[in-house]
Amino acid sequence: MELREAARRNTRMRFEQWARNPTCEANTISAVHNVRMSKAAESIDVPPTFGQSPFAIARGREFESRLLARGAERLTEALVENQVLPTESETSFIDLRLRMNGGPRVRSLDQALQETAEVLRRAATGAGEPSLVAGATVRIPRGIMLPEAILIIDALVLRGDLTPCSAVVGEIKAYPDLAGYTEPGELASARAQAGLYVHALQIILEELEITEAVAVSTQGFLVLTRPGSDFPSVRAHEDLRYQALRAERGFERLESAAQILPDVVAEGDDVVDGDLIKAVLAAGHAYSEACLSFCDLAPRCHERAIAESDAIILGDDMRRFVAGVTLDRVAELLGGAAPTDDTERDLVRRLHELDAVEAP
Amino acid sequence: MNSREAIQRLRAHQAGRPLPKGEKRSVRVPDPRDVLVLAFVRMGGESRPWGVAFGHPGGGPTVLTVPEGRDRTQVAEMMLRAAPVLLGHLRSPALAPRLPGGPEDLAPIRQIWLPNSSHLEMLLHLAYAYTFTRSGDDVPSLNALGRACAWMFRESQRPGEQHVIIATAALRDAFTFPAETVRQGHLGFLLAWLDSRGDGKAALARAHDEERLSMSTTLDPSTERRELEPLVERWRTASKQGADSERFARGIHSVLAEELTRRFDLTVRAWQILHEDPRRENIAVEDLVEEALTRQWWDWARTEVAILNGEQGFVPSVETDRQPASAASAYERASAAAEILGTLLVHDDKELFAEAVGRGDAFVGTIVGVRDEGEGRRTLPVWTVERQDEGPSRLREGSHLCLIGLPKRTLDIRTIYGGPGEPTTYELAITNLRTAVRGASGQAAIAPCDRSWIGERLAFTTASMASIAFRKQKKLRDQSVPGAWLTFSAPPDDRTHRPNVDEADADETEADS
Repeated sequence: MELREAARRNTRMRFEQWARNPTCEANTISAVHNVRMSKAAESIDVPPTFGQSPFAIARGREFESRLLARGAERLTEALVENQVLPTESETSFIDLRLRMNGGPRVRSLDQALQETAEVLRRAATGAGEPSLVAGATVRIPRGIMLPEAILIIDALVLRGDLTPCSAVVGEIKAYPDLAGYTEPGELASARAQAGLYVHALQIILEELEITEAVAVSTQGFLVLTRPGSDFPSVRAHEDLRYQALRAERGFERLESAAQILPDVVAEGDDVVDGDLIKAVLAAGHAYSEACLSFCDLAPRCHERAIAESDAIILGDDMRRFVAGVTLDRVAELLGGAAPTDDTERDLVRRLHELDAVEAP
Repeated sequence: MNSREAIQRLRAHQAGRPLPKGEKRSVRVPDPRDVLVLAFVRMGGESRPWGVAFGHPGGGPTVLTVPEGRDRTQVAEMMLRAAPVLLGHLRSPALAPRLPGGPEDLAPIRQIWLPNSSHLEMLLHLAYAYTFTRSGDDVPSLNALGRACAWMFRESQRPGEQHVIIATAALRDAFTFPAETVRQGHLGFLLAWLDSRGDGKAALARAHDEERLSMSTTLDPSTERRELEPLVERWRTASKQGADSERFARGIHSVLAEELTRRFDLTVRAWQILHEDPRRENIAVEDLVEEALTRQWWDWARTEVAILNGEQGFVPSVETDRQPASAASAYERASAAAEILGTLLVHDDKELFAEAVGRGDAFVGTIVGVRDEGEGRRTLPVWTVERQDEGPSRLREGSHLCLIGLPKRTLDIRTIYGGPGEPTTYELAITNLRTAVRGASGQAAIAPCDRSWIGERLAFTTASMASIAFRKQKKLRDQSVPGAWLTFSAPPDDRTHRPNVDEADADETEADS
């Protein structure tokens, strides 16, 4: 139960899962109530396909621990080299990672939250020196993602040497920085994550009433690995403005979506897991190509789409192209059936507009 | 996705099977001896290979693996065993009976076939690891392997290249599949569609079954967790204690070999399908192959010859162009290659032409007027052309066109007119081949000013503007122009001046082992 409680409180992954297909009610219920799609899939005998490599997890932990070892010597050096930290001042390192995550002393999320707030208040008093905080923990006080939205920031730079103090968020990833060939999807995901932290920090600073003394920078940094190495490659000055706006808007939309969930789900904490799984399975779905990259229920939704003759089984573009006409009906129209409304007439025109084209 | 592609996908769905795309093959598919299939697997989170399979179609693969995918020494030794085969296949000057002197000595073209794009990325990882490494048992061979992988990766990014074939991309180029675009990155999925007989339902079911098996360089996490993680742990423990670790190494090899062989076999099957495809090769592929060999010589083989001769050959950095001028030059070269590819193949393929019409880059029209605006002995033929189809158009006044089948006859659009319900009409001034082609027969033998052209139905497409990109590229090399001090200067914070990764990590590698 403790693990489940910890998972419920670490909200970022659930938010990102929801953001991949916000139109799907089942996905919204899954994200809000932390019902894993793999569990829902298993309950109807659909084998789950998404999982993490044990070697990759170990590699990620090892990379992070090496970055933060000896007072985060390696990370600090890379941040100075990339002008995230100043060269002229000594940087202090504050490690707020939970002990279960390799931290030295913090035992619980509540302690991490409290100490993070203290660090931020101290920065607001004008400490005068820069600091690097690992595992800074913040809470978005909304109560939509039950019981609350808690986010753990991999690396937070507090530029106390600037006035006002500037808070710069950073995200650590263990995949290699291949310059222009780094996987764009991975980078987008890391930026989205960092943007979420920017949004969360802005809320926390408002809550602590220190927005005049500490400003959240909209430029963050990503820490990747150098290919084939455990040394970091820092991508500094990443523009996170729009990612932060996306996060803000996303939470608002999630709030609206959560409010119109079915009653059985709205009871929140009182319902048992079995009921939540049933609620996910019974909820409306909105299958799209994006589901293939994260949702274990995608095979079931795909089958439904086939049964409904929905053009989504040929891709998002195709659904747009046929404008809601079913594939069975498209086949009839291709076979010469007369269109019955304006949508079908327009589709027939587009289906045949290139018929006459043949190079002489 | 344009209208044409959408319609093709709908027709494929209706047929319940993939449909041929294009009237001709747009890529060279050589015989087995000139094809080397290469497949990798890597440990989760790592970038270097854990195992590699290679071989020619028709023969079984050679499979090499190491017990511990995180051990750089083991991996380097494994790659040193694979290097002679790979370099020999590419006609590396170091392994050739005599030194090549130009592109002609690299013919006929030899290709590397990879299952999907994640395997291509592995070439980049190998380039990072070995191009400039200074540690290992056989540094020159590792460096040579790194340079070859770097060149292959760079070449794979050039539109129209013919050396590195990604099996999934080649199949998608040759067939229209009745499935989502996202799913079409899986080789097993595509082959299940192509190999299934019967109705679409059976093919789809088989494709979904195949899709569950990993095809990329990473393994299924459950395979890693259930089978490999315990074996690797036992191998590590046994190795540290000096006990018999060989049986665990064999166990790891067995799991990895099965994974590698599946990837290898599917890639061979993709080659086989395209090799047996009855469609003939597009006539323009010969030009693409010629250009590919030229690039192989200038971008890789020439440097290898220089190094063999003890000279300082230019080895490009794996991760940067170093100078803005180099980056701009590479961009212009890629633009030119894309232009050439986009305008070359369409002349010998009616379906590609139809796709160009679907994109709005081509049209079919009838000549309704011919006049000569030339003065004196100079001729300037102008055609008035009525468009026959109602497809989309990206053509504007000033657009540069050419005649399908006679690409050297270029035309500029002077005016476009036509109201609702009327055909679109173009006034086209001929800018090249303004007279009859000497020694030609058929239409090419008729002067463009001849009124017998009236009533002729012709096909037009956008002409290649590659020459502009080539001219720009040439100008970019000029260091005597104002501002060259800036465009030829390396950035002050040059990230390429990093410590050698292997040396920097050496202490940690030792500590790990």
